[in-house]
Amino acid sequence: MTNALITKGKTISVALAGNPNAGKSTIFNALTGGRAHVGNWPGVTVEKKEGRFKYKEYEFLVTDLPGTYSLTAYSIDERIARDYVIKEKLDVVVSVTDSTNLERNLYLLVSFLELGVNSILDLNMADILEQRKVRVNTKKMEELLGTPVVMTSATKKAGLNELKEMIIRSKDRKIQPLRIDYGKEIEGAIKKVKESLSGVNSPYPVRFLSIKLLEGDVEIIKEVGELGYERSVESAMHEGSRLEVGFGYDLETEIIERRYGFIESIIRQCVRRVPTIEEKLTVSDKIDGIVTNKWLGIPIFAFLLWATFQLTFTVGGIFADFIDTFFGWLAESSAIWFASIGAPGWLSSFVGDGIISGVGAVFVFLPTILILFAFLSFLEDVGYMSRAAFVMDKAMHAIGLPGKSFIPMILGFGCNVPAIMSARTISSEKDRLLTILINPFISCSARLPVYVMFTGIFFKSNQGVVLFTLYMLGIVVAVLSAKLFKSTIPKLKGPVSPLVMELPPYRIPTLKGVSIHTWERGREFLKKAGTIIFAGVILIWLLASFPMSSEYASETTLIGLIGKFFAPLFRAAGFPFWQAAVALLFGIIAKEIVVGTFGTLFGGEGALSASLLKYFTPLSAYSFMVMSLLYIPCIAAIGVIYRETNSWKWTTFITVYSLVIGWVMATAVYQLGSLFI
Amino acid sequence: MEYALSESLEDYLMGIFIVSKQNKVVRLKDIAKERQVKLPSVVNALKELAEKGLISHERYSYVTFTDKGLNEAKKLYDRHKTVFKFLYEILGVTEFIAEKDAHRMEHDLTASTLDLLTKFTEFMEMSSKRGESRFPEQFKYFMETGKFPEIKSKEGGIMEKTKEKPLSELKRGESGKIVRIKKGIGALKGRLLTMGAVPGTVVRIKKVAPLGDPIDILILGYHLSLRKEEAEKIIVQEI
Repeated sequence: MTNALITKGKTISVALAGNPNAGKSTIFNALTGGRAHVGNWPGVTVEKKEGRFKYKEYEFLVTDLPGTYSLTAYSIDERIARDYVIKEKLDVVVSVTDSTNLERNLYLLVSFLELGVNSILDLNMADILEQRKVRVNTKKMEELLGTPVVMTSATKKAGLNELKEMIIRSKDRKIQPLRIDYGKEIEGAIKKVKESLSGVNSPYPVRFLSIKLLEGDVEIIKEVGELGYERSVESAMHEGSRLEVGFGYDLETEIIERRYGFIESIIRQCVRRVPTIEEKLTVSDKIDGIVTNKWLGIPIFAFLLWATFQLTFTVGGIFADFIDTFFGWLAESSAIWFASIGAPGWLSSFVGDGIISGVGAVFVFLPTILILFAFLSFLEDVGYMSRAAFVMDKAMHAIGLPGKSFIPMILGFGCNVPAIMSARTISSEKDRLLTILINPFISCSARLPVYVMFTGIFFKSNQGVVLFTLYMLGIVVAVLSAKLFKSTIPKLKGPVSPLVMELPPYRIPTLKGVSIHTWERGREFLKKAGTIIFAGVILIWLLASFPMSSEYASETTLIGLIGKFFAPLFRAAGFPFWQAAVALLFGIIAKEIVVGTFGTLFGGEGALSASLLKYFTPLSAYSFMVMSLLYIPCIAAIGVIYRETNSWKWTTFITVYSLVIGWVMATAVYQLGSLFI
Repeated sequence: MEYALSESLEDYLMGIFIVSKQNKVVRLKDIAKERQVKLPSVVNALKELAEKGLISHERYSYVTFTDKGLNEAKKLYDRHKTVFKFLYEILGVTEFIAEKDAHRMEHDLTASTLDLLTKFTEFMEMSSKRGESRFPEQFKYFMETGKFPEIKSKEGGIMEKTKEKPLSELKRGESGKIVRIKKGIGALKGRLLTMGAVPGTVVRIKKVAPLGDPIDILILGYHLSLRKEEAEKIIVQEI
């Protein structure tokens, strides 16, 4: 962010760090009023939120770091947080902690302090502490930690001004990295490694580097090696193994244990009456007793999902239909108006079939996305989502995915677009990518009209059975593709990432939190995916309109020619005529358009079924439905896949892959079927 | 052996085997990466191996084993793994050192010593799996405390207080005190430690998911869910 108006001294750059569920986003929203710039951290798909606000004569730039438990580079999130704090030269890092669970929460702060970062400890959720009659001696804590301490309660908007004041007061603080005493043996080892590191040019304090080398931090080992200090790495290894053999120490364990020991002593000195575990968790425990109950757990999950699904797609569907009708009316009216002023046909078509239907194609998804994400963020903020993953983990594990992939899989039956967006809660990038890539094969509701049209004509007596086989086929292809990708693509290889997931206490979400989150999702969809969808619609319009002399989407237009060109390819699948190829091309905009296209090309609703009967046999109708199910995800799905993977490579890969799979399966169905019929 | 392989050629043969286990095809650059050498050295080594009839390698193509070569490579690899296991699992040397020393031992020790070492490792593995011998546990106890574990009864069991088991074996409602996290599980260990699973912490199994996995444990006053696979890596003392 370079802004000429921002002058140093008047602008304070602040990062918010903290454990997941510590109330970091609530603090962020309370500080910035919810206005945030949402983007990605460079090179990865982890979300980056930035906001700004003014207080007194200062302008604050706030960055919301990913929620992490420590600063050792176990996950991308942690690496991002560490790199950002070290390399960005921030004025202040606010460590947001859940003060009802200080022990684990303070670990991250201690890591910052050891790193020599100018930090403020924010004891959040102070209201709950008060309810439980727990007193924290913040003065003493400040002394012991050597860092300012503020108490806030973000949901009640308490302590926010104190926090701002504290940021201003401590922005220029000179600080020394915190020294934890690691005991005689380890300190000896640290000293030796430190000596071997003398003169090293690194943004990290030397003591911090030495400790991390002894801990065996992979990233730091790499970094130190690249600085030409391989000898220090070896020295650390040597010291480590000396201690391990000599004293039976496991250094990594010992070092982390000492840090926890330090935290425990701080808590003992500063917190009066630590509540016992039991009284702290009763309400949450009672809810959990039902929600994750052996017999009720899965039915409750199924019901919540069903309710979400129903409400999203029925209520969302009403709005979506309304939007659809509205844009349809708009397109028609524009055509009438253009005709009345005698404008050329192509202009009318460009505005009607191109621009208006392009904008419509984007907006038609918006209600579904907003309603769905309102539900999902509600469930997330309540704390239910991690329970859902807990309940479903084993079932998903069987097909090589974590429990959190279940929700996107199910949502895919409604619409792949929000389903793919909902994969974002999966923390491991590998699992998330895999979940996104297989989602388009789950048969979304837009494919249903295609099935209904064909089964209504060709499979009147067993429509249900045929529908069922198509849905099953989608699931089977998704599961098998997951297996295939996992065994062949290096980036996706390996077992499911280990499950080490916190089940946070249940909390009552705030309307503000949920609505901000929902709106962010909607806005992102419009901005990023929307552009691609719109561009796709315009492209198809161009293909269907040129040359100008031909009728829209007819045999002699570009799209007709493309259709003719590709038609022979589908001979093996049983539908080698250009109308089918064109319908499939239009289906890329949205799969239900396949139906409308056939309507147009085969001369209106009335003649449609007669024409279809002439062109298709039951077998080729089935293979065409298989093709419609599997080939290229619609343009909106492609848009969100790009948005969520942040990579053209993966987007192209899955587009091509699904096209090939669609063709192969349709052909296989037709060829095998021909043998028996 | 009718042909003598030099130490370095043995390493190459094993290196190619490791690469072939990881990848479908063996490329020169993968071997170079595995052995941490430059490409020209790989080319020379491959030439020698091909002359000895252990591999075949046409210019510009992938490296493949001959039957003889595959046999030889497998033998070398198994030998390396056993020596590594002896150092790493039985003696408890760090991964890094174990790898380094295994490399030296397999070249320098007499064949008969290596053989016995292999047998000994197998024996220790079996006995600890069946739980019939307490040698491995006793040795660990000895390493940690410098004392020989006191024998509690005639059956030869170690004192009750040192009875350790993986967290995954505790039942719902039972508690345990963490003794250590198993080695050799990569980043997972650090992750568990930083989330508070340090020795001395008391954990309790609060719930088991409806399908029997994962489990929910109470640790440092918060709930953490782990698969049994992960819980197995946490060694606790039942309390």
